[in-house]
Amino acid sequence: MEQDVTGRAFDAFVRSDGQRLRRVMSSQYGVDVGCESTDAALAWAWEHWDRLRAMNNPAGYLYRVAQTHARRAVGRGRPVTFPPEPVSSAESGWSIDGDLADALRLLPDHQRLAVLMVHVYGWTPIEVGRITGTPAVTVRSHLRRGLRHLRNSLSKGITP
Amino acid sequence: MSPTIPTLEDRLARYRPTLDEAIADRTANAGPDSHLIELDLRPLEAHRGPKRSRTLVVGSAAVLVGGLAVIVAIRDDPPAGPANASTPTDSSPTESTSVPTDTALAPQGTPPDGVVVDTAPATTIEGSGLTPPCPAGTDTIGTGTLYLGGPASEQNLAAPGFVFSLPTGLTAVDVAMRAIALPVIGQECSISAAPSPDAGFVIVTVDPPATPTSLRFTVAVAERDGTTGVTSITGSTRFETNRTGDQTTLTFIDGVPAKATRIQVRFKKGDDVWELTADTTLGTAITLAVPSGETDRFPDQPIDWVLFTAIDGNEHVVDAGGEMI
Repeated sequence: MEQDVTGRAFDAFVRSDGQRLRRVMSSQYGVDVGCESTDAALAWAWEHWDRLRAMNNPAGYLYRVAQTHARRAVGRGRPVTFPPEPVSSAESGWSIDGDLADALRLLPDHQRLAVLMVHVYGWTPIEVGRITGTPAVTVRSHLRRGLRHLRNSLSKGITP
Repeated sequence: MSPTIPTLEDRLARYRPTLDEAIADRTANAGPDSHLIELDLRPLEAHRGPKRSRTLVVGSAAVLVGGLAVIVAIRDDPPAGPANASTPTDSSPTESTSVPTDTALAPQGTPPDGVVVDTAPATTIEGSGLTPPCPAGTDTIGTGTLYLGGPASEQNLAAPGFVFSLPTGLTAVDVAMRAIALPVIGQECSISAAPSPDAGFVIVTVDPPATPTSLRFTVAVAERDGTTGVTSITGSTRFETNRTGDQTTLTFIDGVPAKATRIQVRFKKGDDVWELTADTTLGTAITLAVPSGETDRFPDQPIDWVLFTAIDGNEHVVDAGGEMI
């Protein structure tokens, strides 16, 4: 019975915070590395579930675990991957500058995280800061710089 | 009336379903077209000692008669690569496991050295994953390195019910990734694994795998030379290794799988990993020896481990196995 309760609680955690973490990690490190590092972090969470569930900010703690994995992966040369922008946007009747996925890849990871979590997933800088342990003012700074870099890259039509 | 030029913010907002779809594709949920990969991990009693007890030795000499079917041989120079490098030099016990999160965050109640060991013989771990086709042009099936023993991988994620140890043992996740990824999908495909909420299961996602087939491996785990790790991997092909004097052989007790058209064998001798391709029609025993014309840099050292993959005519892995010798 106790194991069932634990399993259900962990299951709920994976569905809620795990999904949030997956989006955060995928935004910061790309989809491939982000999902792999999230899987690794969730495995760690399963092992340390009793301790993690008692924390005030388990998702934030798990973010650090996932980040360690992701940094190693990127350090080994794993590429930052993003899916191509949907065709519908490019067929809107106007010539859209640059490749969004390529431009995202060029952003520093903290700027990319801020841009995607705020403008794609609608998080506030405070919410981003809570899971990453970063002051909201810093997230806003990353966001401003990220958008500026993104616009510059897209206007130049850069490709990595 | 002119259409509105989408702002960057608009483009980002419209990007959400695309990004979510990509993330969903990378998660470990099986779809209707998925194929099952099962991993059955059965840890053995931890024990120390220079040699493991070996079974299935009797009669091996008789089976060796048909062997010696080496056709191709290459040598992999072992680089000083990272833990997931394609050669097994990372099995060196001197390499740091570097698991800061695990060691730093060791739960209360664990031994001071951070080692958590669960060697309950009854513990079983299984996993499943997706195996859609690999991209065209990817020709890496059967390559790469799966090594036995050695230190933990960099992401040592031992969990209750998942056995092994921190920070020195391979975990179910490690084993799942290594056992599935390298013999089955090669180096060009990626793989992820995570335990499911159900204790005793680990979910393996292969992306994009090369082999649309179902495989099941039994992975034996034991302590050897102070390190808890994988000591053997067995699929449906029964095999044994035998060392007589300077000669070591790999024998398929019941022959190779009917679907297999060739057997690819890797073995480690000293710091070198050698690869042999055996024609299954020539016999069922393979001599593990450095091919003539090649230099054995470690003539005085025995073979540490051997791994094989059975490959069919479509270059799909139909089985795999191996063990420490």
